[in-house]
Amino acid sequence: MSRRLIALSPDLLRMQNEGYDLEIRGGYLLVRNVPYVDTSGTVRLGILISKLELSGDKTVKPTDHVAYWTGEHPCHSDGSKITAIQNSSAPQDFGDGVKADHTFSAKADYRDYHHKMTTYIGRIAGEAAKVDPLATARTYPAIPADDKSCVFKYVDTATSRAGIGAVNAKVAGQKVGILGMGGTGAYVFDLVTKTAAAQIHIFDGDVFSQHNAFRAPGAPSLEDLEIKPQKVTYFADLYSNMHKGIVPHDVYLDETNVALLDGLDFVFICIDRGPVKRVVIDRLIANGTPFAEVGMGVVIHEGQLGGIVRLTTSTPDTREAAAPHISYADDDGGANEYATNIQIAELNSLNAVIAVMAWKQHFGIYRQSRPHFYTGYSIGSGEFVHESAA
Amino acid sequence: MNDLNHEERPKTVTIIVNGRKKTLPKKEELTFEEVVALAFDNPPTGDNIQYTVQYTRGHGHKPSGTLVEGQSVKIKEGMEFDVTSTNRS
Repeated sequence: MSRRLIALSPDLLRMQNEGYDLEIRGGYLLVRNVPYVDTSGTVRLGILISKLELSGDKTVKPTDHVAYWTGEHPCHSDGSKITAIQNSSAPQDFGDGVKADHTFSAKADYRDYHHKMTTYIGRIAGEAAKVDPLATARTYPAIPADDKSCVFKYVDTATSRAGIGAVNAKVAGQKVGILGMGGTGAYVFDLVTKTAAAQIHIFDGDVFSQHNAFRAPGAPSLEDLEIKPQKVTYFADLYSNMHKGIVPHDVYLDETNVALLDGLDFVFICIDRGPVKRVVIDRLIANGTPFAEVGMGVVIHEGQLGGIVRLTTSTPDTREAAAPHISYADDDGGANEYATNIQIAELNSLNAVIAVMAWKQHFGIYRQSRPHFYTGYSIGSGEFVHESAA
Repeated sequence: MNDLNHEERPKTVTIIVNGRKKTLPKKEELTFEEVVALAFDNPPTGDNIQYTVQYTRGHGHKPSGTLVEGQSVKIKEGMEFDVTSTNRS
């Protein structure tokens, strides 16, 4: 609840984004870990407290200039009391575990709680900074998500700091599928877990092996590899540290289980096997599901690697145009001198990036002046080749 | 000036296919199949093989693009083609 109040109140959100350690408890705003100087000239940490005035779920302009303090009375850098803010020093108990040792009074027309709290903090922590230049109330604490509806285990402060919550909300609540957790699929997953997609369904029946570690985000330990985890188990366990909506499916898709794709809002197809891809794509088209299908072809010539990193984006509007660009070439059919399996982490990662961007473009997070159904990066020329309907 | 020396305009065009220079008789267009044949000496074929063909530094009106089966493109000196089976992920 308090996180919601912070998210809805621009003054509190600004404080959070600036790194102050906020807590809302029993109608009071607490700023924790505010450095101050005690009478011996030592820097210590206290809590600045203010009553919160609210209208519904948001703060209003504070009418009360008084603040409270848990800790010794703050002093100037020389150890003399800051008398300019001094008021009563009778201990007070506000309930809910909120207790104050001192009351401060510095009259001003405070515009909002950011203005009020940072004004007091400036006076108090400013003295501490004279003693210890590294002392700051802007500690950037890790903030757990206390809202049950939040998909993350901790607050997405990157989005709030950037002020693009409304933009990113365009994919919030979606059910996303990632088929294949090889190199590209794993990097797609890495990026999708940073979004507010409600459910991220990952599909792969394979084991996470040592060679996979070199084409996957993160750095598994030797012990991680020795237990030979299933790919979906390994990734679901790791990323559940952050995202609450990961749904692992330890299967290879085929006709018998392709119904697992029904109801998904968007699907990333990152698999090598043509026949499986046909089954999957037939189903997605029948369901009207937009999807991104990725693949690369890298060949070695005179000791250098070249080739194409490709994305095909198929939506109900681009089905026909996209169709001839989808690769149904099969892993097993390549018994020839050109059959190679050259993939490098940065190419997998690039492939994933353009696919995730296409998803976000489809749902309006990124501007897209011409919707592309084909995007191919030419390693040799360094150019992106696009095909669009317009 | 060329005309004064009675030099004829070049009758070949050099393009680059998967990093290899290919000098071709000057002609208007290359088909998808011709580009694949330039990329591989013995192109594997069959249901399990599929090629992605894309080009850059082509003619002005569409300097970059793709070719799928049945399509062709006008070639130009220095035009670059990439031809691979883009099925790995």
